[in-house]
Amino acid sequence: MTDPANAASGGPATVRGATSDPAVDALVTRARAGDMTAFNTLVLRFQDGVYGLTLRMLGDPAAAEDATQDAFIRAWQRLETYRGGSFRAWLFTIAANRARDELRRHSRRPTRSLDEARDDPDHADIDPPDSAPTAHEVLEQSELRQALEAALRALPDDWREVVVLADVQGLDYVEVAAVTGVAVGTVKSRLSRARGRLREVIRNSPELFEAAGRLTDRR
Amino acid sequence: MEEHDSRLEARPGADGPSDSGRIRRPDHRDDTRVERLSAYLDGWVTDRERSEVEREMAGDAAAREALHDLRLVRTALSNLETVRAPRSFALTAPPARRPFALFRRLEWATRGAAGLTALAFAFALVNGPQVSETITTAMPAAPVALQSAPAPVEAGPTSASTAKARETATQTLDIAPGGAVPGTAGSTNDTRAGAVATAAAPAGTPSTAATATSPAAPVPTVAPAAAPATTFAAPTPASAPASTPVASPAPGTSAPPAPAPAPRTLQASPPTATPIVPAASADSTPVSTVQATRVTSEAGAAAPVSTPTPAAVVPTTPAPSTTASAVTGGSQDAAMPAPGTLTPVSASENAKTASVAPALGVLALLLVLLAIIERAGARAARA
Repeated sequence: MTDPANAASGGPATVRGATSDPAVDALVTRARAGDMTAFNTLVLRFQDGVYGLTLRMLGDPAAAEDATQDAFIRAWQRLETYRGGSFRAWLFTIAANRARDELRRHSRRPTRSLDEARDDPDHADIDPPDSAPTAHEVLEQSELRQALEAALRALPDDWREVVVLADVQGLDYVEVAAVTGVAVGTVKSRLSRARGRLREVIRNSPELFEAAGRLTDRR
Repeated sequence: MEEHDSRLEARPGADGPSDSGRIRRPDHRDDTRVERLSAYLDGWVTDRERSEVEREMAGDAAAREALHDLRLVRTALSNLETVRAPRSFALTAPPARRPFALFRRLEWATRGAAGLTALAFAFALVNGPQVSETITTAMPAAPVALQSAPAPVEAGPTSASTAKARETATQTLDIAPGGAVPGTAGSTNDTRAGAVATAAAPAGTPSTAATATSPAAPVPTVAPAAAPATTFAAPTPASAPASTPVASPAPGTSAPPAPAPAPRTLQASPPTATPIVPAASADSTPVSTVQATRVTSEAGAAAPVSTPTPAAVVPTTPAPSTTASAVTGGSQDAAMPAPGTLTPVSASENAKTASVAPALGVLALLLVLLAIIERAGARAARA
């Protein structure tokens, strides 16, 4: 698991998802040449992730929509700056910057839970994880999600951004560092602190703890 | 799975809800341990760190418990709902790419040009020390030029120069035809006053009509916009200071007659007074009026100065003339140096250097202003 070369320098053992996807790169190449269809293919492929990131960072579906649209517009305008690697991480960088700008502009804190957004018929945009849980499990998983979402919203912005990118979106440390513009060590520290805070939330409730345990067992 | 089970057994609140809220807040030591465990969980550790963590977990139940909790958190987070975009964010029309990139490139190019221009400006300043000196010494000299001039005299700031400039001017005068150079044609008392020679050259056309060359010549061009017609005057040796410009008799009356008045004047000039620079090179002032003034003692004493400062004189100066004229006042003769009779020596080079400096300064300021505008344009394009 550990790369000796990286281990010697204290670097990461592995880099998940840092390699570029040839299909994505081909679309990027065509988009750079002005092929809007190719770019829109990329948009449809990554828009859920981008929107999910901005929604969790901003906590406001309308603001997340605007940020997502702006992110794709900027991505089109700056395709020349994409130098390979993970295109998704590159997109996330633009989207996170846009969301951060929005947070700074309005000193906005996420105020709306994703469950509220899911209940909103205008924003029925959250798919529950597909599994076959029992009714009891559905209930407790829902409670767990609500508790985690609430805990995420209570995190400091920079912690929340890191933990969403790493644990929700599945980016590795290097990609998170690239997206957030901080050092890998800072990513490591913020991620551990965010996880530590969320751990307190889970441990404060036996029900949540058991629900999380069952979830882990299922996986 | 084993960790999960052991974690359940060790969990403080497992036996009752009353204990669920008694989780001790982690201190700094816990933070360090959690950070190490979190990195271990993600495989983001070196071999040595991994060995340390595993050794710690082998002997510490709390470490195992913490690792298990972190794993639960990570799993729960990764299992959060997949957020589906509420609509398609596909672009219907390609947004313009060029403006932003163009503004950015222009901005950087302008910044670079501004920096280079500023450096060149500083270089020109360092290598053209005559500029400041001329500026400071030109002020008191102006009244003298006014004294020597008749009422509507075209008088301007009298240029002064460094010692080197003086010597240059002297040499220039020395080599000039006797009758053409003020002073050289002067007789015993050399009482000609206000022999104002206005020699102007059209912009961009170095004039050869200059009668003498002085490094001070470029001084008026420092502010070409403010003083379109730059006037150089050759005052009497002891020009009155700016504070007492009015009715300051030209000390030239005491000056002994000499075939070459310029050096004589220089010798007679007090350190604070503006020395005579009989003329200026017009080739260093493309748009300027060069006056060579000689003041007689009578005229200098008789002609009161109503305008003590060159600034006040400037408005009276006509627009840059493309012709050379000689204005005489008082008892001065019309001995205006014939255009082209004198050859600029080293002063012209200094004059060029000095005249470049202000232009560079203005250009640098303009470039900085342009960079600011481009910055605003880039932001607008980005928005």
